[in-house]
Amino acid sequence: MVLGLTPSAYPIAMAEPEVNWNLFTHFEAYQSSEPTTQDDIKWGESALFLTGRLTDRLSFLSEISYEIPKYRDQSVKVERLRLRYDLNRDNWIIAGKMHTPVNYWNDNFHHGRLFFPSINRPKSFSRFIPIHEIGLRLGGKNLFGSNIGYDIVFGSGQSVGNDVFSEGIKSYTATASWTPLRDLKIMGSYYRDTILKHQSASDHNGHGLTMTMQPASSQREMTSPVDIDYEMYSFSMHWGGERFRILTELSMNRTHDGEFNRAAYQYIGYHVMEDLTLYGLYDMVDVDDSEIHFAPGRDTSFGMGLKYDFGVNASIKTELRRRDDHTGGRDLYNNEIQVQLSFGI
Amino acid sequence: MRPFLNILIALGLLCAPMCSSADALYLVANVPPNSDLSQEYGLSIMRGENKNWGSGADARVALPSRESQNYDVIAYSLMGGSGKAMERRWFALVFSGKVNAPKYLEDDSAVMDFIASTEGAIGIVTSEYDEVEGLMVVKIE
Repeated sequence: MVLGLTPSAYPIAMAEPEVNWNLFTHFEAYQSSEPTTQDDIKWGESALFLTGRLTDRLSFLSEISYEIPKYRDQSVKVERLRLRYDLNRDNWIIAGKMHTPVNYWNDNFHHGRLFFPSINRPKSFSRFIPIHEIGLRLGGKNLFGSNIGYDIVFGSGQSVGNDVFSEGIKSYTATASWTPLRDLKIMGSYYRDTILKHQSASDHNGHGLTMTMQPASSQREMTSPVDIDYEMYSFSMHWGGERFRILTELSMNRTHDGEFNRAAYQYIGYHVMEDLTLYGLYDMVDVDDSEIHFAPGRDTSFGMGLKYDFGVNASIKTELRRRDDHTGGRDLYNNEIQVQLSFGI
Repeated sequence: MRPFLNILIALGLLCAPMCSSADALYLVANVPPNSDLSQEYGLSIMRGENKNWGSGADARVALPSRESQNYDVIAYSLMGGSGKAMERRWFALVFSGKVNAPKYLEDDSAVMDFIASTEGAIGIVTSEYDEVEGLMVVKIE
């Protein structure tokens, strides 16, 4: 078949602004062998996305999340609000509130659960990972014609919330990524921040978890300054092949030049059919006893899951997990089952 | 004879979406000034691996919609999966902020109209067409 086209019939359209929006939400059911604070049935976090192009080089992304007041103090949150300007083919600059490119998960998944490979984020996300930063990000790919990419972020830091550079540049992120194959991406990053007034910070001792300070940590805490340094090294590897999907997230972090805390997340998924994935996961955080900011102890989960995709916009995941949690003096051995139904409309 | 014929017809209907694939696929682009098109780079844009043309202007990607008979054909050619898998991948990419949303179009002529009228647009068609000034065409090998 031959299609005939007349050039004069097609006036060329230049950069017309476009806006797209989507809403993501999820519901969860949870049961465990031991009593926990988690509800049996829960309406989870919802996220409204707006993305769009303003010109042929300028685009924006906004993500606003909502969760019922029972689960968090601030029901409505601006998670991301950023402008991206493409400097040339392979390099760009981003300004605003963004996800820090410290690992594969945070750089690729948003708050909507639909695209998460497992039901929950890695445990390190609620403990150590600086999920958001307000600042400037310079990013690129295909560096010198290679498969290497980079990201550099100058941020306001975790302590100032949404106040843009109110204390100047407080955090620095440097990330290198390598894509040797189309399905394989490897990332390594370094993140540095200053935690201001760390004893009154919201994440001090693990978001107020009941904990018994270890003697070593008590001693270091008494002699620690008001503001402390925080640094984190991360490594990610993602394989998204036809049959298997593998995601590895490793990180080491420390505060005030102390001992390193460690975190590891491992996901291996096998696509039984295109819409059905059987997966195994392992998720661990281990905080050193001498740590002065995060609650010390080891929290480990491992288990198996099944994910079924309904078309493009919905999926259901079921996980059976074993959790051993010794964070902050806790001593929990728990068998869990969790089901999550997630949508994107 | 009749049941055998019915089975053949049924098989033919089942196979229709897959068997409608043309012998060749063509990458078509309205390449902006100071940019060019290679098959490798054009396909990487179609897979969402790259976003911009050489000049820095963004590529406007046209993908087959669910109603298109090329939905699965083009998806298999691009990503080795179904149209649904391709759409899911693009859905995730858009909301990670790595690419702009693609345009989903129903057939070759809608894709050609969009590309011909939009600077920076790129898509895949299954039909040959007369040469159009300003458009670049690469037969996908």
